[in-house]
Amino acid sequence: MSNAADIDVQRITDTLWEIPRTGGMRVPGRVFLDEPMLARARREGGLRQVVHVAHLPGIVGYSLAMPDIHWGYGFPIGGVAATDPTQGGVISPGGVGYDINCGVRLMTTALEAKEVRSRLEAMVTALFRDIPTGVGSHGAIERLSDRALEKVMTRGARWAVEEGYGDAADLPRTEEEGCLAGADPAAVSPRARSRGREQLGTLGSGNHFAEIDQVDEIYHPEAAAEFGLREGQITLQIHTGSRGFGHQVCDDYLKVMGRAVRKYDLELPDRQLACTPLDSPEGRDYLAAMACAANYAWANRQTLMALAERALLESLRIAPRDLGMRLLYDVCHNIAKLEQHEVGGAPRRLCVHRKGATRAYPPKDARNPWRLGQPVLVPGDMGTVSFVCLGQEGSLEKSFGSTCHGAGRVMSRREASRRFRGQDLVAEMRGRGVLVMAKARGTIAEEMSEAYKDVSEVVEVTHRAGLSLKVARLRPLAVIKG
Amino acid sequence: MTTSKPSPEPNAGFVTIDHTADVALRVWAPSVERLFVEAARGLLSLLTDPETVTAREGRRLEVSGLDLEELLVAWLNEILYRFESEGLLLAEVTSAELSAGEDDHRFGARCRGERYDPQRHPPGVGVKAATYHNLRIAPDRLGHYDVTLVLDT
Repeated sequence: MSNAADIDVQRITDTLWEIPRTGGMRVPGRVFLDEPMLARARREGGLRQVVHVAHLPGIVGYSLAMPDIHWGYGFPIGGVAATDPTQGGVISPGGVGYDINCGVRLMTTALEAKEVRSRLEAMVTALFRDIPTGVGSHGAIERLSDRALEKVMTRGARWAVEEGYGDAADLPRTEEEGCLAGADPAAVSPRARSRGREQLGTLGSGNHFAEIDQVDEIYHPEAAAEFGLREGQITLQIHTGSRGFGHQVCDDYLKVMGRAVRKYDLELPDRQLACTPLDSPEGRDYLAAMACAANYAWANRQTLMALAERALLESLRIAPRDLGMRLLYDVCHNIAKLEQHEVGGAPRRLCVHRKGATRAYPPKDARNPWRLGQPVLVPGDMGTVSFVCLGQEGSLEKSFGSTCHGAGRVMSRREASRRFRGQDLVAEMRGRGVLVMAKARGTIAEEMSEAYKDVSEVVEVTHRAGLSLKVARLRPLAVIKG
Repeated sequence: MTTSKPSPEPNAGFVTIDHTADVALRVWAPSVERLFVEAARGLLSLLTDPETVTAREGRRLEVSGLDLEELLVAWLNEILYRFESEGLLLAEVTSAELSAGEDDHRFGARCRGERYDPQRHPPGVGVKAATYHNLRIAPDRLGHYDVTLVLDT
């Protein structure tokens, strides 16, 4: 998008680089990358966006980016920014993204990969049949009434549990227990509601997926034991968000922010960064609406998990205890949250924007129940691998408790489509050991591994940088997509 | 860069441009009304193959915004909303009307199209929304418009 060759970048360590303050930047930029990644980020335009985000009023510390940084509108994907409400700090819907609380959940099972190899086809066919995917797909569950939708907005994953999807033991294993505080349905437009009523219990399209994996390597036996992971085990991942409901909340509030930028006389380098002081009626309304969308996404993933469990039970004709499906954790990677952080030795309540970044709280943090650190889920693309990581002590001071969220694209969707035109990609993926079922043939081409940065390199950098440690690697066996 | 079928007039049209994670739409036209029509055509070319869409049913769509940029984003997001909620794909946009007052811009048009049918309409790009990224709508010295819109996909 823009020429980034002129951005001055200074080496702090071999995994951390700083962009010194220039012009209207209120803080320096800091990106977690190794040297080859840095060259790519320069070419690609993500660094320019780190500079733009550093202009936000009330930003604290650094404008940060994780190693999966890539160009996004407004904020870079992989961007993290903390703002202080008492210092005129702003909230920016563009720093959350359209897919509010897009995230991942990972389930462990009692199954061994070697036991179910011959049943995989039946398993993935059942998932594809029972989980609605693709553009414009509607819920496998009944269209929500107005009252039910209000409960989804205010109770999140707990609503799904109360409706019989999963059980209450899943809630402590979900970030924020599957319910972000401060949700107020009054802040959500009729149009967002109309989109939301139809789409709960759907996966969507693009990079969203449900995937059967096999644990193929353990790096941290102690943490793997605490998380219930063992080599050769079958796990299930679900990656989706708040669907059209979240998109509409974002769109509605970008309009509100357009007016707020004028009202509060904010100067910004890009209109997509439109924002408002946290301490303003517009800021409070957005936070209340964003929380509704975040809760919708948690209800969606909780529901999809239960649909997936039923599909697997049916296809394998086994009892729930033999399947032994258990939620390991659910993380969100498009969100802004008010969190307590230490800045210059003093505790401060900050609004941490994570757009394509995952919270990674360290061990013994009162905010997570895990002895060794919070589980971090880093999905790869459908052809390679995904990682389970562990939040580290260093993350709090280095990145406001954040780490990477995935691989990050290196090839545009269309370029990928052209590259793989005319190939039988289902057969190609089968050759790579992955069964793929998708509504749209084009989706498979767009999502081929070649279109993504190698997620192994990404987690290697966060591991070395002390943000999150590698615990286990998951290899995909079967994937359903939109 | 991918170009769809040539526009009937040489001074109006669109191309779609790839970005790593997203898609951009470059649209040009001799008037704002025409610009909006071309943007709708460009969006359709991302959602499916425009050749497969016929004008079977009509609808009047209207949007409003603070300024032209907000109006164009609202227009495309309205089309996306109709696609998502009713499955409506727009084959034709005619009688486009723009009214521009201070902080109050409105655009309305008569639209004809049909419902999405997976048997006949090949799925295209899953577009989530039009964004404001670096968006600026202003005529050049000759009164022509040339605008690039980033779409979240």
